[in-house]
Amino acid sequence: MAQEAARGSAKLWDRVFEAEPPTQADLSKAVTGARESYRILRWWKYGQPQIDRIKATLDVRTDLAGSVIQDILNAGGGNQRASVILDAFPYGLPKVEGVQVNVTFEREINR
Amino acid sequence: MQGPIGDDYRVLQIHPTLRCNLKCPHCYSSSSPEEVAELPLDLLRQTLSEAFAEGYNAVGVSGGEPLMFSSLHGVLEQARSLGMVTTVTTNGLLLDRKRLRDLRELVDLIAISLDGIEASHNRMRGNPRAFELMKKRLEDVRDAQVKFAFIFTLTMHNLHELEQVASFAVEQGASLLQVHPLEEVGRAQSLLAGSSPDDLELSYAFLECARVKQMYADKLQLQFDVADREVVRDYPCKVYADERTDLDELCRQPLGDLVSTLIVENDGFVVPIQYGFARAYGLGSLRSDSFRDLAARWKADVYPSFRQLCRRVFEQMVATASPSLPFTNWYGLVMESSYTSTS
Repeated sequence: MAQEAARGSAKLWDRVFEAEPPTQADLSKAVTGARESYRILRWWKYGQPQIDRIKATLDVRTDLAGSVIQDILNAGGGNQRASVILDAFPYGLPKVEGVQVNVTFEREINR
Repeated sequence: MQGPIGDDYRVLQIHPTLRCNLKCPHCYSSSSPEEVAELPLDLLRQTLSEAFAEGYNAVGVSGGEPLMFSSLHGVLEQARSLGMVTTVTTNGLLLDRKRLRDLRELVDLIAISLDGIEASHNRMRGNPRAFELMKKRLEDVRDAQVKFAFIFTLTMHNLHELEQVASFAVEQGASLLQVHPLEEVGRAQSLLAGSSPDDLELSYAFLECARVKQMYADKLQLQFDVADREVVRDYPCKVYADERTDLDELCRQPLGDLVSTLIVENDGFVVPIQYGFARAYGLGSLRSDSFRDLAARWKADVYPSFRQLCRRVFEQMVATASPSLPFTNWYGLVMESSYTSTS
């Protein structure tokens, strides 16, 4: 079976954001932010679906989501790239439309 | 009462045959149409009863293709009569109305493999019509009102398809999408070498899972099978690595309180954690001893070294934690270590 060279994440960025994946620092920031809202508390083996199927593996702390996003925005300190990375993963943001605007902005600064 | 790692369920997973109608390159059990052997129903019935007595309250039937296992109905019936929760993991191609009628009262959840968009799925399944045939069966699954989930095998190369897979899952009415990293065992070891996602790809996958989860918040549960090193560090019991001084006392507890998942492999050998785990840490063969006897011996003779193995993996995981790469495939690590580690 022929091996595909490109990472799925690279293709994802290419397809969705038309940009290169973020730097390690940006990734770290995004992961840290997302882990404030989503927490993986249990992992199962292959072929063993989560049986109770009601409890989400990615637990959402909705009470924190808004403030977490705000913290990340503040931490960005006007850094455009950091803002864009946040927008790529809009956890807790109530309006998806806002994300689309910023994705356009990402395309512009990368050209 | 919760199981050893904080779950409500203590799972016995049975691979009664490696017979399968497909021959997927990523199959961890190297199943294929050429395989014909099956575990006998009587042996599995007795095993279920004894496992239930040891605290196991859920059974997952996998394979091979479980729908090609001649005694599937009998196994599920026995599990049900004991009050166990049941799941069946299938490629979906054989889910016809008759089988669904048989299954509907006996199965809590059917898990169907879905490895990407149509072209990718067909390639991974080694069949140009696998997706089309599976999709055709879903209408009957819905009609039968059986809950079903999809299992997506995450590789180094297919994260960009997750959103479309989730969209398909929602459109088809699935309750759950399981995202599980490819493990290079079985046939995947030779045919997909280098394709399991590394920790960097798992970080991106986490973010993408979270994004997809948010898109379909109320419509689909998402299960991402990676371990978060920070959670592991805070809760070592989740990976059997908490330091205990009362092992003798622990060994007097039912086996289900000590280890879950437990796997019955196609030849009747029982191992902890997952299919293919090193047999040095296994319980032994059901063809030579009863489950009850195997459990008693394992608790006394092997459990301490199993915990030592898990502790070593835990220390390795925690030592390699970093803010940008917090996730790892614990199953892959512990499986590999079971072969390389000395007790």
